[in-house]
Formats: sequence, structure tokens, C-alpha cells
Amino acid sequence: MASTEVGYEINWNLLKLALQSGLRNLPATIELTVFGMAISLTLGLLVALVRYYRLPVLSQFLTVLLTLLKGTPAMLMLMMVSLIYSSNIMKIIQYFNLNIKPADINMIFLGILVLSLFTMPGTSEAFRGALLSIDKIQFEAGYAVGLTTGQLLRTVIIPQVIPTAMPMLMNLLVAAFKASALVYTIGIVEVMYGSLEPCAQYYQYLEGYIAAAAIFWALSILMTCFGNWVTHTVRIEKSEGSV
Amino acid sequence: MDRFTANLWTGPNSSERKESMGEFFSLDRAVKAFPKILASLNVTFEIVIIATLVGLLLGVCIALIRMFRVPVLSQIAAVYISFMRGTPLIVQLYVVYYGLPILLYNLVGININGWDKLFFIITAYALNEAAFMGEIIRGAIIAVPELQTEAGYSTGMTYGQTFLHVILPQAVRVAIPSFGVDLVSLFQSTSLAFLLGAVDVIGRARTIGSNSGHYLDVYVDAAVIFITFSVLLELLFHFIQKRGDRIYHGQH
Repeated sequence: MASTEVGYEINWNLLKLALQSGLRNLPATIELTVFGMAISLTLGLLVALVRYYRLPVLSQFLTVLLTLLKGTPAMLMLMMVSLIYSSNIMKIIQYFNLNIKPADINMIFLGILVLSLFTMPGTSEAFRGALLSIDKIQFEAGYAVGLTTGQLLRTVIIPQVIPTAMPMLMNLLVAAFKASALVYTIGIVEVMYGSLEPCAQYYQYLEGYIAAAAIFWALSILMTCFGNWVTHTVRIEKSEGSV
Repeated sequence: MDRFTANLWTGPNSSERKESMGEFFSLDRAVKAFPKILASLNVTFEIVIIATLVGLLLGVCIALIRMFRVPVLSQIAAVYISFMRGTPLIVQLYVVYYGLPILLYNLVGININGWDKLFFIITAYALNEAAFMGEIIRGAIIAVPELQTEAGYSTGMTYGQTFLHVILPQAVRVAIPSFGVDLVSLFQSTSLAFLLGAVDVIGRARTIGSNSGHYLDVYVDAAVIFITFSVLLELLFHFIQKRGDRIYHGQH
């Protein structure tokens, strides 16, 4: 049964409070998204290279790991990670004799971890697809002029991989941004948590969710525009560079 | 912890704290709980199937409205799609849950407050699906070259006949991969339904977890179920796509 009363009217003042409170916590949401994506991009590129070069054992292991990550919903991953964390944090503190209380630790890193795991199958797939689209002849040409594999990747291959992968990566950025809303369920303070905070005093939650929706919507639109601009820019640079 | 964090906080003062006493993970407990959790998969499937069917129906309407550029409705559809794609599903779920009874009461005077929770959950997923389906369908129809329509006309077919016999079969083939991806993501996103009280895979797992005080076993069970069915769905769509390609190329 829904817990709202019928004949309910929107409390505009509460909506304003929720919007302000949500916006105040926007830096945390941005931190979650940016750091989550940064880790995911780094790991994703490494995983893509390992799978591209078909390194024995490691490549197969990562393929299985990616399937497992891809099949696990973000919410379930979040619940498992936070459960493992909270069950072991006391032991870790005692083991290292740290003078901190579990409640003092900012759990935002758990959210960052989950977001990076959640987006990693996507980022690695984007990089792998882009790697596969590069002609073999480019590798041969690089080796022919005496580049090492490291130099070849850094100066020839990766600069071509990034523009090709960019549209997918930008979609993943927006997906990570939206998925960051989940972390309020384990008590991490971000936009969603901030928007709902004033509502807890009134026991009226609709305003909080509307405020959170408005903030996420506005930022998603901005991010999509930014993504289109970046995709367009790198594509132009790529085609100019190749002329 | 505040009420709105859905009691998922697993900190030192929560009820899940007893987890750290005794065994952390037991395969035996996980195996024992597995059939019970698997049995609640039908609730998950109910959400997925109804949301897909309703979403498909609404999605066709949205795609047609946008393709024929129906004035006013077309702009509303664009805003609707932007909202559904730009906001987190978890927010949409709660907005439907708290907002739909108010909206319906104020608009048409029906009181749906006492209706089953599952109704609100399925409605939220269906409304979300409609936006994504609308875009998939529109994209697939646009992907069929204009030339095909002209070829249809030149053989004397009407617009309706051309659409049904020439455009639609090709559009379906284009749409299948995106449809498969969308279905897998819908299936996985049902992992949020327990927040509104659905006793689906995760909801059932958490009930068992709270009774035994051991959550990790049941979470692993739920993960196994989600991973297995995600892979199966992917394989199914891969098979359908391959078959579609074969039929398509066989016609030439």
C-alpha cells in the first residue's frame, strides 16, 4: 500500500528545501561519478589490452570475471560490498590497532568501488571494440620503425582507441552518474540522501524524490551535451590528424 | 539510521551486525536457501514480462508519435523520453509509488492508495521501459532505407502494405540486438523492486537473511540467479539474431 494520503498537496517549501539540500551534496555525487569512472577507465583499458593480446590464463580469468560482473545487478553488488565491509571493518581496525571508530570512516570509497565495478565491463568492452577496429598494419608499421610495444601503444594505438570508444564511454559516464543514486541506501551522503534529508522530518517523501529527479535530470542533460561535444571534438581532431 | 535509507545500512549498530559472529559464508546454508530464492523468480519474471509488454505497446505509440511529428504530443514524448533516460530508475520508482496515487486522485478522483505494491512497481518499470522501447523502435524503423519505401510504392503497394510487408520485417531484425540488451538490463534492474516491498529474488533473499542473520550466503544465491539468467537471455537473443540474419540473407 502506498503510504501517501489522498488529497495530498505538494509542499512547495519542502520541495525548495529538498532541492537546496540535494544541490549542497552535489559534489559528493560528482566525486562518486568521476572517481568511479576514472578507476573503471584505467582498469577497463588494462583488461581490454590483456584480452586483446590474449595473455594466457589471465585473459580467460578476466573474461569470466567480466561475465560475472556484467550479470550482477549494481544494487546487489552494493549490498554485498557493504556487507563484507561492515562485517570486517572492526577486525581490520583491531588488527592494525587504529584509533578510529567505524562510524568516522567516510564510506564514499565503497560507492566508488561499486560504481567502478559496475561500469568496468562496459569500459573494457568499449576499449576492446576500439582496439579490434584498428588495422593490424598499424602495429607492423610501428614495430618496423623500431617502437617498443609500450611506445607503440602510447603513441599510435591509444590515441586512436580513445576517439572510437568515446561515444560508448560517454554513455557509460551518464550511466555511472545515474547509478550513483543507489549508494544512499547504504548511508552515503550524496544528492539523493541530501534531497530526502529534509523530508524525514515531515514524513513526506514525494518532494524529496521530485527534487532528486530534477537535479539528476538537469545534470544528465548537461552531461549528454558535454558528451556529444567531446565525441564531436575528438572525431574532428582524429580526421584532421590523419590527413 | 534514517528511515529513507531503507535499512540497508550495515554498520556496527545494525541488525546485520550479527553477521560478523559465527561463519561469514557457508556454502551449506547457501545451497539450502537456493531453492526458496529460486522459487521467487516468478515475481521477478512477472515484473519483467508485464513491464516489457506494456512498455512495448506504449513504446510503439511513442515511436509513431515522434516519427509522424504529431504536434504537441511529439514534444511531450521527447520530454518524457529525456526524463526517463536522464533520471535514475530508483527515483522513478519512488516518484510513481508516492506520486501516482496523488496524481490520479487529483485528476480523475480515483483512490488507488490501497492497491497492491506490485501494481506500482510494475507501472514504474513499464513507464520506464516505454521510453527505451520507443527509442529502439524509432531507431529501427529509421534504419530501414527510404529507398525500400519507394520500392514498395513503385510495385503498387499502399503505405500500410509497404510498412507491414517491407519495412516492419527489416526493422524487427535491426531492433532485436538492442531489444535483447534492454531486456537484460530490465531483468537486472528488478533488483530495486525489493525497496518497495516486492518479494522477488532479492526481497526473498533478504527475508531469509534477516531470519538467519547471515546475508552473504543469500546474496551469493541471488547473484548466481541473476548471472545465470542474464547469460541465458543473452545467448537466446544471440541465437535469435543469428537466425534472423540467416533468414534475411536467404531471401537474396
